Amino acid sequence: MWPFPARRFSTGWNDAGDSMLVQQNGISFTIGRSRFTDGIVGSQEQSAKIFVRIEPESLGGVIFAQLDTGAAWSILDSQVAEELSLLNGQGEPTTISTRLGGFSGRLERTRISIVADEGESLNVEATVWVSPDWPGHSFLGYGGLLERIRFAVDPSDNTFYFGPV
Amino acid sequence: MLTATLDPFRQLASSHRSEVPPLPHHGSFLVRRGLFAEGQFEPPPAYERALGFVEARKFPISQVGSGFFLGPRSPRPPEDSLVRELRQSSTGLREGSAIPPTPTLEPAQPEPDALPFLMAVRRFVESEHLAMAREMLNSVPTYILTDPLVARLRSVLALPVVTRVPKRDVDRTLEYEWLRTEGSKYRGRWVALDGNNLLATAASLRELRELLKSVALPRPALLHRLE
Repeated sequence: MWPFPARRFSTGWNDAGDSMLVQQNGISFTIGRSRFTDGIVGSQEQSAKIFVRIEPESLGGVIFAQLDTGAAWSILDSQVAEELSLLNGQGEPTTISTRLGGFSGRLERTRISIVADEGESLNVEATVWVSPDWPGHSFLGYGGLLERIRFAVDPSDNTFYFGPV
Repeated sequence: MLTATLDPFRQLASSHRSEVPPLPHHGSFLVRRGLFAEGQFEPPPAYERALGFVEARKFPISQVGSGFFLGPRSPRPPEDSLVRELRQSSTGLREGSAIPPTPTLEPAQPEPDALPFLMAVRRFVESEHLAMAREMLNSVPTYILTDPLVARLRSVLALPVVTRVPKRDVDRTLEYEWLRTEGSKYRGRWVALDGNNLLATAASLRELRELLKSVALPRPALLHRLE
């Protein structure tokens, strides 16, 4: 028997009239949603992955980040990290092991916006791992970022729902 | 057994068995968490200095024991004095039964007693046990909180702070379509898109942002590196 009580969700409407996930008690489970893409031309990812849009603080543009709940940390593209002046930071030195190999970098604190197409966006004071040697793109990992966000994915229409815990 | 025999801390502890707690509670924590095997926990020199100091002063260990290695965490005056004195001199302990409070004029140094905590937290971080790393940091004695490395870890490992903001991105369907149909022509380059308009392209993000400074952007562009 499933040990946890079932939590029921449904699609409802928030105050702004946007379609959002709400719990049975009427409390919003998420407050924003955006359309994700499950494949980007030029990405090294061959299989379908979830790429959501984020806006790192002060970058002045929106970029893709792959949703990866299995990643211990969020990772920023090395050039994005450089533009945010995170590569010269004094964060905690940490090595990570990935399928691209092991890399040395630092954990840094920065602000990232998860941007909404509907509803509200989220600003997250997050911990991200950055390294000048990182050859991959950006990831949203669990530790330091997703751990304080409710989220859900609807693959039928490529919708990413999100809200604060 | 051999480890215990060779371990000076264990030897010292066994010679003071009636006075010294068998293993400091933070040390026990490290052992329980698998960071150190039983008998492999190496206390910092401060602990051994503290033991010698206590014996010279004939202090019952219970009076000294608070904080990091010697007992419960709540600070007590005797230990504060002990820590001050231990910080002052690396060569030993002064004579006398009283411990006058002395102002410290030395510049801030990394707290030696923070090292076991730092090692443990870093090991948790490297092994991706974030919750345990936070638990360890939460158990840091207050007098170590000011250590710059501990402060940095507490900042970096703090829970993310999430706030709602009433802003929205625009529909990026056209950008997605452009990437699907035109992206292959720009492999290895960064592109900036607004709808299906290519605003700029460059070899690096820095160059791309420089180019975008001369472009009037009605909304944030979609920036992407085509691998």
